[in-house]
Amino acid sequence: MKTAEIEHYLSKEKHAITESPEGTIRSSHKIGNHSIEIVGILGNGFPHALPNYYLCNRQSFGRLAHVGWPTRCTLESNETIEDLGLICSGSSDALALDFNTPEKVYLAGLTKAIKTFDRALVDSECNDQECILEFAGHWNFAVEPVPIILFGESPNRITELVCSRQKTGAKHAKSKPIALVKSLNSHSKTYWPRRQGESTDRIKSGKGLLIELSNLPTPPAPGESLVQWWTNCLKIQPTDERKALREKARHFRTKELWVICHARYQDQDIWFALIASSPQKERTPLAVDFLRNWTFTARRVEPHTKDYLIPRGGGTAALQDKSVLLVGCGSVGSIIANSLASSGIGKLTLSDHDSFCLDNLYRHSLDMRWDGVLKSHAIAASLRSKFPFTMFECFETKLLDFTEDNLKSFDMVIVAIGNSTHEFAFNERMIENGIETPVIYTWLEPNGIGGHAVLAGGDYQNGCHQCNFLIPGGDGERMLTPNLNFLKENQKVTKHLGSCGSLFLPYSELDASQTANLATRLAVRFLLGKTVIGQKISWHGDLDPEDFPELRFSDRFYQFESQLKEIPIQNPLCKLCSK
Amino acid sequence: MSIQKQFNKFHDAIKLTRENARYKEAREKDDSIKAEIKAAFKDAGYPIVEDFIQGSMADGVNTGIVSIYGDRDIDRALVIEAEKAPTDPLAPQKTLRDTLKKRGFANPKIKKPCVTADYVSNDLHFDYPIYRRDLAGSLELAVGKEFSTDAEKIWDASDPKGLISHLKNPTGNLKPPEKEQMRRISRYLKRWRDVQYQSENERKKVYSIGLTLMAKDSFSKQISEDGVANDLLALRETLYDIIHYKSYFTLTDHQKQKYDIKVLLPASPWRDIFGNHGPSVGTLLRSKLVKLLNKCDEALAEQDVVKQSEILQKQFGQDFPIAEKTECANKNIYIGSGIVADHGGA
Repeated sequence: MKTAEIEHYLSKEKHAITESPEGTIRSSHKIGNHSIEIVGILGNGFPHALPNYYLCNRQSFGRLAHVGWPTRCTLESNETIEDLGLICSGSSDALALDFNTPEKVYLAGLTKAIKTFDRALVDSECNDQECILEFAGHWNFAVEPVPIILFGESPNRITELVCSRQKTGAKHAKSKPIALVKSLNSHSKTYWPRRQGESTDRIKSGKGLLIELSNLPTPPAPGESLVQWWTNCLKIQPTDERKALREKARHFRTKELWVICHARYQDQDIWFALIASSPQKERTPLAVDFLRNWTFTARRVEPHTKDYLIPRGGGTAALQDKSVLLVGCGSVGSIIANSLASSGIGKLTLSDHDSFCLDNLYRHSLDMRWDGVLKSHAIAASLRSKFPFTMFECFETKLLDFTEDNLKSFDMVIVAIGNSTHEFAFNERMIENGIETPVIYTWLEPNGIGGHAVLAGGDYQNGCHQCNFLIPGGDGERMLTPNLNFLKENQKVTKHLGSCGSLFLPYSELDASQTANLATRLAVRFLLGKTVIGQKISWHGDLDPEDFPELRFSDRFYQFESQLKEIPIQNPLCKLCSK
Repeated sequence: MSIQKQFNKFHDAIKLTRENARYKEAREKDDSIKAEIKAAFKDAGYPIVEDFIQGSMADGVNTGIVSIYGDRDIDRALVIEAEKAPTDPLAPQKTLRDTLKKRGFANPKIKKPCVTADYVSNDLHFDYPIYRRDLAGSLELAVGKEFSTDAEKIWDASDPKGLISHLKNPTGNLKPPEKEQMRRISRYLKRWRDVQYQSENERKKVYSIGLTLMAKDSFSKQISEDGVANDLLALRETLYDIIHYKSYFTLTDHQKQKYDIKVLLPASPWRDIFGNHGPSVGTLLRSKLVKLLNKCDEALAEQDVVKQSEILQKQFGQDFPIAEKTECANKNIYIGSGIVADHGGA
């Protein structure tokens, strides 16, 4: 569509249009007492993407939330337009556009753009607040391109950091400067060198401090003196904090200091970094009267902290104080280990007496490098470099060989061994010995038929795993396999591709991960207090029994409708838990 | 002990399957007779091109019960080609009767819809309806008795396979365990009829096909997601539907509380199964069904399984077992060989 047609449409909608180069539309608007002009540059993507909308005469508005600092735009025709401020009204990717009516797309985008900053334009207090909330956006105008990675939590208001950067002429690919919290435990300290894989290429780089700020000024404008800005920032901190910073500065002399700051503002985490340099060792620039010989450069911060990384990846830092024992590191168990760690579990103890064998390569999460290695050790090793905030511990102990004290020390035990006899015996032992640790039992059935997870434990008032072994509708007689199963018991379902030693249960990685998801969700929901002990949950494969004429399906297979829903396990006829 | 367990035992006692020894014996007899009938029909110029079991033992219907009166029946449809079939529907029936006579059956008869014969010594009863099939595959039933008028001797449109198909799954997409429950309910009602109708004359007017159709068309499934069936509740709900929601029974005499009964065949010829009876059949059947419904409600309200089974035994007869009081064991007992193949994995 030609620009003229959009302009015509805007005129019809009573918008004042002034002449502008082809591919751009200039319209006038009144916001409060302000008369503004907006230029929309359609760009190649339009109408499948919104145009860029710019505020004209940007310089005259000073600091303005959601509007970029002045820039010059060069059009396709090589014409240039000076003093434009890009209006940040969000990404087109999050919008669905009716590209068949470009004129309406343009007008809707224009309205949205104006709405983004109109309040900030007429309300200076609101403008300041919004500017602080989009601190990172403004800060980015002042920074050098390479950010600093901060790793670790800040236990105090002022925390010392170990800072390093890549050596000049290092062999490995360019890596970012890193600031580690000095008081990190040894486990976490090993994370970064492992991640980077080139610790020998790094050198220590001055001192660093991680500072929690109570107050934040509006972010610096382009060209504004960082020393002046930092002076203002120090001045608005509460008196006791200013004193603490000054005290630290007096005893902490250096020529280079990385200052990484964090502040909470209206539930937002705001991070920024300053690298301060001085020709000689000086008292550090944390007090207004110590700033004289220091120069500053601004840096962006990539915070690799529990409170940022775990929730950013969909986990929850509230699980950091939870300790889980996972017995069974097969195809299901290995995926559970990964999912639990990614949920934010603080400590994961893995146990499996078996070694990884390449037969299971296509359904196990381990890769070929781990052939012949004990599964628990191999999984822990592969996950340590991915999940810095989870401690991994490994055992080769079998389910029935764990001691009472050991079992009591965990917040939860997950059993993924696929052996109903051992599970049954373990459940009996837990109840008879009064071990209240919650237990999740999980297993799957062959050929994509389904998978199950059961949560039992506590005081067993809500049922136990034996409830899942009672004959449905019976008088308390038990079966040897769980009544959750979608296949009737006592039928041969294993296959072999070679001799008799090669028997295996046919299921895929998809079946294993579906089952693992079930068990992990149940575990996480329980550990977060979102469900109670005494639940069972199943996934049911969407398959036609007639495709498996050799198999006998249980009545539960046909009747089951509670896909992925938690159902109570308690059976009053269970002699074990209803004593 | 649960009442469902008593229902399961009752069902095991009354169900007639093809594997049942006495039914097998009947089938073997049927097979040998069938060979002779086929030969006779071939000689007569209208060879049998198809035969199948119809009724409660038809493939997929499976609602046969062991009769408490000892008789068992085989209901075998014989199909000849319409092109070769004689115009007189009585002709193949006579051929059949004569074959059966030669075979030593006591008094085989040509009845209105079929030729019937009894093996008196074995309590075996055979029904042989004869159909002719046209090129489009439609069937017509040979109707007429030996001394009927010409107008009554006809080849009448009929769809026994449509009926079988309906009986297999009358209420749409039932799952296998639900179909099983539906069959059980049909069997319970048939046995209940045999127990509650002492008079043979009255009993034989309450046709099995009528009861089965009512039960299946009104069936209310009662199986939990864990696959646990509740046959007592299913029976109760089904009965309530038959009596109160469906229009099988029509009040024809308000003062005397007389009810007519009408159950239509769900396939050609779409006739009323009870069409040749007066209101006495409907009135008696309805009052007995209401009583059964009340007894089901009584049993449902009862907590004690022994008392429940006593109530139900009076309705279903001695094959419905009275529950035994069981002592409370310390552990849940496994009743099996101590080892089964497991199929769980992780």
